[in-house]
Amino acid sequence: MTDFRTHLDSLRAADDLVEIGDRVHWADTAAAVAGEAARENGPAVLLGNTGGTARLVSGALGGPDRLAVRSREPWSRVGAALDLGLEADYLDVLDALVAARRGGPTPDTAPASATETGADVRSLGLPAIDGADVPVVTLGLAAIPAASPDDGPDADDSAGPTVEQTHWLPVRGSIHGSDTLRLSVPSDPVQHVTDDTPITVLLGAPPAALVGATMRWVGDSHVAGAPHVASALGSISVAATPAGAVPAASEVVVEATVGDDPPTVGADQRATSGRVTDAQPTSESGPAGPRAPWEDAVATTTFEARVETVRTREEPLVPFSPTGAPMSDGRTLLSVIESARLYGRVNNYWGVAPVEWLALPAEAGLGICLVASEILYAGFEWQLANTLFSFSRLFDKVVVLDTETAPMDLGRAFDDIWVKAHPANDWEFSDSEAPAATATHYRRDGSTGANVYVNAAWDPRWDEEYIAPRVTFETTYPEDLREAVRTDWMDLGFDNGPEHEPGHTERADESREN
Amino acid sequence: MSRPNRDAGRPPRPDGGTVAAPGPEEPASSLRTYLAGLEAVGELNRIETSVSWNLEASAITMLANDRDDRVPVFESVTESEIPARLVGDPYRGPRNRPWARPARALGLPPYLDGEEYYERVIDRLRRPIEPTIVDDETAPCKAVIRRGSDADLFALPWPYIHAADGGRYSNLHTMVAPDPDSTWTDWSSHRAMIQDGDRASVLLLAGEQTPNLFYYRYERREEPMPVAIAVGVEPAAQFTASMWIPTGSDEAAFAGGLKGEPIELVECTTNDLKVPASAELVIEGQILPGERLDEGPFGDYFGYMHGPRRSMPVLEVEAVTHREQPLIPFCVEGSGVGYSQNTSSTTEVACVGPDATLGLRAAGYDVDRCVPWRFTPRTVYVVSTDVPRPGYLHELANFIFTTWGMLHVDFFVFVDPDVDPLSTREVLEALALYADPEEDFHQFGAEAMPKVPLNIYQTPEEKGDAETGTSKSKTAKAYIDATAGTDAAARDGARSVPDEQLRERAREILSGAGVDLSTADLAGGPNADVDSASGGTER
Repeated sequence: MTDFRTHLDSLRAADDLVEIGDRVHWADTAAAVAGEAARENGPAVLLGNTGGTARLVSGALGGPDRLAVRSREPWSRVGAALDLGLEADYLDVLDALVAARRGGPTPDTAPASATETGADVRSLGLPAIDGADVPVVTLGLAAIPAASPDDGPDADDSAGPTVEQTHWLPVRGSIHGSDTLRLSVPSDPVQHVTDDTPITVLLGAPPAALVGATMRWVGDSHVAGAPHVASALGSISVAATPAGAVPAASEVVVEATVGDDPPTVGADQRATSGRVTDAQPTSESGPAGPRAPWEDAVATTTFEARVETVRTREEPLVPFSPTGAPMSDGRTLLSVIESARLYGRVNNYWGVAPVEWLALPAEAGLGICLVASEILYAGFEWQLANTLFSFSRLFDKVVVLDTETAPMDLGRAFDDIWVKAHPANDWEFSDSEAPAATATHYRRDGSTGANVYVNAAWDPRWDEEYIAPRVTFETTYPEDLREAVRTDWMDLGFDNGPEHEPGHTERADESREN
Repeated sequence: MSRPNRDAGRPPRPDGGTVAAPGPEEPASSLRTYLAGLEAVGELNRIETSVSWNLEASAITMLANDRDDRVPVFESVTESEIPARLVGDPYRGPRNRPWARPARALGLPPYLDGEEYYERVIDRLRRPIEPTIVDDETAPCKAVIRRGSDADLFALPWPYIHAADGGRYSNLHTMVAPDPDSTWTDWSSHRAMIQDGDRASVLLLAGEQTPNLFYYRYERREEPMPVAIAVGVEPAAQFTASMWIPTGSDEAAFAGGLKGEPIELVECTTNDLKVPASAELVIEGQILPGERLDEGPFGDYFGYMHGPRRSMPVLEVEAVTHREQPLIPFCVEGSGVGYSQNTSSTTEVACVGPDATLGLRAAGYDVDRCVPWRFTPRTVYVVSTDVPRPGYLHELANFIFTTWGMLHVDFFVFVDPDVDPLSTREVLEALALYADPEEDFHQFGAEAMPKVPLNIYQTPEEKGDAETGTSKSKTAKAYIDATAGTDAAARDGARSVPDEQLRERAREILSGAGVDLSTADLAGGPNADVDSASGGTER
């Protein structure tokens, strides 16, 4: 299991982290620097001097985008954080997440790395983001006791709830005064929460724990508990807190109790598949700052919590996401997680696994789903697209591609959408009764409308001779000529190697060599 | 008109070999000076090793396109009777800023950002400059004149570009053809498949200007259409051939405006058409009425082989004039899709886009910019514009679809002026998050509109083999309103863009830490020497 600072070490070693020692204040400049770095497809950024006790890190799980041939991929840092390596192929990351849904062994216990500081939570200097005038939590992990009395802590168990008795949740929040948190979490696991329920908020938790918490509560219910999902991605140790077992290596551990006002179920009425609530969002109790992307994918509950203690590791490192900026951490992380969830589901639904790859590109704000699949029979495109609409409410646009489009080759995918799909016959709109997509910015009142899928796959009814071959180096030239050109490339006076080719992967190199 | 026949083999002209690069912000006056300019900044690769025209030159070029490597010049081509050279995709722009090489060719700073580049080109197109006429003695393209049996197309190394092509092609040239009823002459670009020593089939698709002249004037009168195919003309002339210049307008004057200096023209040897004197090679001849030869299949601009073969009008060659050791540029069509660029895709973004923007503004539409979709050269365009009144986008789309966008363009995506249409990410996000399938996708008719057969979504039967080159079946056009419209409030809440002062401060901090923030890091750009952290460095 990679803890957060080990993950940063790997980014640093790969020249994918820039450290800024100049004063970059948490109140305004920190988020601006993070936003510009994300917007420009830059490296992760470590801000060492922010006016608070924490060192802030942006981009540790973020971009760059896949709209150019780059030295890194959008999923590279997520892959590195999950011990898959910065060079991990897209499908390797998806497959790892799909496999982790079943869960791994129960985590071992270990002492917490963080120690009590006596400082208040505001002194951490968490960044204010997107107009918020208070510090906010963007990539937080929360732990609360599970609901069932059977699973609850024993009365005499001073160690607090065990792993099996603890829920880990994604959490967004803001800090008010010196000891008040306003938090937003998924609704389902906190329906039993009352005032004085303990809650632990973790900053800089091991990335696999954050991934596990998001996978557990966003989308499907048939997923192992978050600690077990995390342990499936690598060994993890947990430490006890009053709210339950938490990742021992977390950078900051904030122990708190839920406040007097009851939690408010709310957020966007459109949120979540099948769990839409009638409650209105309540900005008074909700956290300041922009919503996290995962909040578009699940019903949320907001509440206040009183901070009891703050423990930190030495010179704590706190990741944050410049929410709203392109390729921000939160959007990139949800892109990978939701893509893996849908990829796993559609390949475990019909008894066969026709889907080669699937992506909700962060580049498109999670509002479009690309799926490259074998077209099993005429009409399968419709079936596939509408299955995806039923599995996720984030998007209302699906593009069905042939498997000849390489995984996440957005360049070819967003060529095919225009040139392979007949503008009259292959843009298929539903009736006007489809629910609004939650990642989009229209129909926020919950009104219904159409969704659309674009069939950019060959029609299986076409004769073989109708199928136009692609123009690529591989398909256009004889093998001996290709080999000679590649072999002689530098001798011919050129500079750029195969790593500059679109779709280049280490795996492709190995395949060619073999 | 008949001209004296000057035999091949006379002493080479002084510019028969390499030439000096143009000075800073000086337009290239020939393909050679343009290439010398590239060479001076390390963006050219002169390959002395003998290379075959038979797939090898194009394979090397396609890999250079895919790897965003230097532009190849093949100095020695095997099996070529005339010692001509090949140039693979000479105008292909770098992937991160495709307009950089066209900018250099036009004497504009190559590190201009996209918006500045568009406005500079538009400004030049607004001020046409009349051409000058030079005589044969001073016209480089008349260094060698071949007529009769000496004008043998097979003596030249026309490239065989894709393994499944129907033949060898000239596909990067300027075709000059006259209106029989006026003094107007059209410049355009129509590929020609070499059939034998003195014939080629020419892709003429009705709906475009030169094909319309042929099909609906010359052929109906059973008259041949005199043409000249000028190969390897100076950059401004080459770029103009890809633009939609209004009927009746002097294309050479627009080329002059684009260049900022007059274009030199010279009269042809066997007819009175005038061609850019800077050309490397000129094929003079006529397109015959009532005659057709096979054309295609061909790997086409949208990234696929399109077939089947179709019948196209026939060019009969009467003379070939050329420089010593002429350079024959070609484009590996189909390689300019997705992440890669080639000459076609670059010309679209660097030349057709500004021209289309100007055309829309001239028609009364106050658009910000009209730009081709980054990953598809011609099928879809992005227009950034305000929406001043209801129905405006419909009017705009209708205007384009019925004029220059009729045959090739199937889609328009409209975005707000604060969305950079050259930023695929911004456009994609607008499309995904602001275009409501319920009300923002607008189809123009259902299979009611014309389409060129250069598409892959119609079956061969639907395309047919119509006499005038268009598909037998009709298609639809569509536009997508990806502007925020009434979603503007939501946009303001969704986009995290700090104020400009804060952004600038943030960029200074990042830049000071070594983060590469600049798209202006090409040779000569203001940040060319800044060390960069890795991150997602573009390759």
